[in-house]
Amino acid sequence: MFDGKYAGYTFSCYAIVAVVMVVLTVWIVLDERRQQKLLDEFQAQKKRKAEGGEVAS
Amino acid sequence: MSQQPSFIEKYANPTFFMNLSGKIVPWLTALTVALLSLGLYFSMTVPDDYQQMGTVKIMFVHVPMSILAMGAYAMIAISSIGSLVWRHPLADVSAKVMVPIGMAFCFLALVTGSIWGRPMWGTYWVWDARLTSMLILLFLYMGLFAIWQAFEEPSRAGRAAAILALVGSINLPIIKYSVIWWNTLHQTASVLDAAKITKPALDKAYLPAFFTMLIAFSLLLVLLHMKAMRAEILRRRVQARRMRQVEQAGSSATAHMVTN
Repeated sequence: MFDGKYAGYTFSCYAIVAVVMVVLTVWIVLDERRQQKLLDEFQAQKKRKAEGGEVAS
Repeated sequence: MSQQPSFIEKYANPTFFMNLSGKIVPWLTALTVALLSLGLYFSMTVPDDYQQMGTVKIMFVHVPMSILAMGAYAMIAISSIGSLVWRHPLADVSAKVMVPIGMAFCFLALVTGSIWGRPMWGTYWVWDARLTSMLILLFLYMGLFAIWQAFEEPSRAGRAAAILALVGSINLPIIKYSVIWWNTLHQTASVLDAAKITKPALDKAYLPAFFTMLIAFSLLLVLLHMKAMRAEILRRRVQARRMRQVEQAGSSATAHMVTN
């Protein structure tokens, strides 16, 4: 796989690319989940308010 | 009389995008993972080059990163036109979220190129036209990122970033042709050149690994862009609801004061 005289250089390149790509992917995926969760909370809050209004009336 | 929605209004709107991307993302993820695995397998099993030896494998990550760093910037420039001319909300979102992704690809192109340069050229860095213009591209990405962070209002940030992105796009042909216009240490294109596309200078033993990795990283870029756009659309929806909530709280407080 990574052998020979310059194996360290080749391995470092692949390792850096892998680390940056994983960090970028995780950051984007977590951001989307966080925003979706916040939006769901807003929707649940709105639903609770609407139900509360119905009960009151 | 109700007007029929235009093609752009019908298909290029956030709700349509969220529905469509929600269906595409799982398939695109599977395809990207499969192609990346295949590309890695091809990359690890190619024979060593007689001159570059094992470092030839660096090409399979360095070249796609460089091409896609430029491609991502071109996408930002195109989205910026859509944002400036038509004020399209998706164009604005697309331009914004591509900045950190393109910046990561550009950073990796520079780092992997620098590491490759040490055993091949005897140095990590030279102020050669190709390397310097690529570094300028990274600075442009950093500038765009700073603009998006500096403004609180997305529309104002979008306009300033779009102008910088369009002005900076002049750097793309400079990067591409720098190895032809100037005498550089960096080599000219081996495969993706109009004159060499039918008869590439690259040995055919390396072509499957090269093209598989190029397609895999391109799909990864599209996938990350799509996911980041979804996150940004959701963020704007959350912000809009927060604003509405604050406005409602404000108006009910005013009504309460008036009645008392």
